[in-house]
Amino acid sequence: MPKVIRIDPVTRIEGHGRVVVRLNDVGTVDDAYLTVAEFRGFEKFCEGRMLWEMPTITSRICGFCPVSHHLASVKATEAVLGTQPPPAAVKLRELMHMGQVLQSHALHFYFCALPDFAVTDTMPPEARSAFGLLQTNKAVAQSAIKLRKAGQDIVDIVGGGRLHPVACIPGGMSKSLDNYSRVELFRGVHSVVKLAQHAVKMVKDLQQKHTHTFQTFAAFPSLYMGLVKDERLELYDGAVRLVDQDGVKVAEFEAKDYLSHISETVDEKSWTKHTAFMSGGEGGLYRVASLARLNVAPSIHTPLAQAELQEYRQLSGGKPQHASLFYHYARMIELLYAVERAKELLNDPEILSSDVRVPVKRSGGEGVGVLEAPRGTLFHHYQANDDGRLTKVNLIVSTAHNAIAMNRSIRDVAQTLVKDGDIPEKSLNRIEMAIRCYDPCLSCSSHAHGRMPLEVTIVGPDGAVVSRRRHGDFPPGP
Amino acid sequence: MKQALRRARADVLVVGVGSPIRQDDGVGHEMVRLLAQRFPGGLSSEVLFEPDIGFAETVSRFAELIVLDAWDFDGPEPYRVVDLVPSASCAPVQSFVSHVFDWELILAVARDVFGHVPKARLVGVRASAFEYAEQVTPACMLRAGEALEFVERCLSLFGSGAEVG
Repeated sequence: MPKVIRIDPVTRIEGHGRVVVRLNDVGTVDDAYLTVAEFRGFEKFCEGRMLWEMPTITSRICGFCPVSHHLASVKATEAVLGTQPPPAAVKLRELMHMGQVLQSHALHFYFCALPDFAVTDTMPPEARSAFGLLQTNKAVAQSAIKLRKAGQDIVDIVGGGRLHPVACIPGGMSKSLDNYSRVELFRGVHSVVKLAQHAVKMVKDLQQKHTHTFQTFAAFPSLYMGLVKDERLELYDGAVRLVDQDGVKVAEFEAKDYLSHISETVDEKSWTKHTAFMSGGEGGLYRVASLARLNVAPSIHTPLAQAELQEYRQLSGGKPQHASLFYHYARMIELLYAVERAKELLNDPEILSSDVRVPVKRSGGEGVGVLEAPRGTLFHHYQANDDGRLTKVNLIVSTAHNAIAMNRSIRDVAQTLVKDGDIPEKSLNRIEMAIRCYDPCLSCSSHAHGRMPLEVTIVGPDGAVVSRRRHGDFPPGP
Repeated sequence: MKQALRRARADVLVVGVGSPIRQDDGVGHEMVRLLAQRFPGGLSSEVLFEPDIGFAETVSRFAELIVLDAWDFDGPEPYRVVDLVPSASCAPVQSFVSHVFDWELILAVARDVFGHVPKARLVGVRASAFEYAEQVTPACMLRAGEALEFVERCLSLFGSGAEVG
């Protein structure tokens, strides 16, 4: 008898989504996918707004990656206006971006991903959270909070707001950095270098402890996309590059040409769009974010992260890494890079320049901004009339890039876990683990922790609910 | 203009909380600004829209925490003072939003993770106007002035063992 299993909502991700697993007559998995359950509508309701309002408006898309939207938006706005910000403004923006990467990666790893490894499936659901860790491992909790705080402090001071920054304006920055704040921020990031190195060590230890799981869990080859500049990892600016499963470059293009390479489709089952690489096989499947970025970038220019990258590459024989749990490993190498790069930028005397803004002239046109958000490549694409009023807005966020790959991962994992038309309670978390690898951002700023309200509904062929089970309804495991 | 937290004194941290574009909700920010003028170079202060978990590490480095905020309460008094007590556990009872924590939880994290919880109190100034506007209403600022006298007494008496009446 065909059945539908729903995991609703998925926990420890950013936003609200649910998983649907469709079973066939013999009780095995026919299909499985993530559905984004919320509707934001920024692309539509921003039409008619003035172009220069967009950096502030779009930073409200998310409470996790506001800086990414703020920066991609101001880059797109400046592309429309034909404006180049002064060098000091570019450095301040990249510094802000490093703060965002640092806080976001730390938050996801320690609060969302680590509980999957540090606690067992048999523990009560409320203990399988960051707060379970907080109470049992103070050193880890301190690292999590200090790393995130170092990043948040950068965003706060440089961006003018800890949650939703406002400092980026068309033509540059609304304020420069004073030396006192620079010294304080430098002290902050310097103090977490060792914590960042320890974070990489933690994930390496996990990989060694769970070698088989890391190598096989949601592992499949695909194309990978990310920004590259001077043949190095680049998070703020650069060319968009795609490589194949062997690491061979299959495309490289400027942001403004993205529509010649990437297509978008509306998924009737979800509020998020799906994207595809137009010249790729398997439905154009490709992946973005940390795993993809380290597969795309030949090197990292900061020494500590580069050393870790070399060790990381050895695990896959120098070829791209395809196993999804390695997203976490790659993410921690990027976290280390963000700390090192923030130090570099704060050491640069030009970061204190008061020349942070050039005049802009109101005009219309078309422009695209791109950067590597913590969760993947982010495009903002605007068209405006001569008054500067927006006539079209297109946003491609990382979750859209990774949507097909996430569904593939969910299906692969579900196929190994669902037996005889039913699902053990601990398997719910395994399916969620597949999603957490990608750290999807469902464009929202609320995050379910504590007692996980995970629920599985089994529906019969007539649509009637056969049973509904939640975390906590299950007896403790062996 | 936002700057890094100035740690002028290691004993007391004064934090103004609220949104300065919601009229009286910005009174905490305004009070911190006025206090900084009265204690030039001698006040550790911060302004926030709302505290997040990272603030637990900050407060754990101080002996005392004074939170200045707007408070919409019924009553004649210009302000109220309440002690902030850490919650029993540093795990939230309900689900949480990563960038908004209540003070009781922040103090619990400071205690359980960073090993020190400051003596903390909230000074809530009676407020009633919360529309989108950038200025605190004159009536609220008058009440804030009275609250500031209390805060100044707290700061001057810190370490003496005396309690502010």
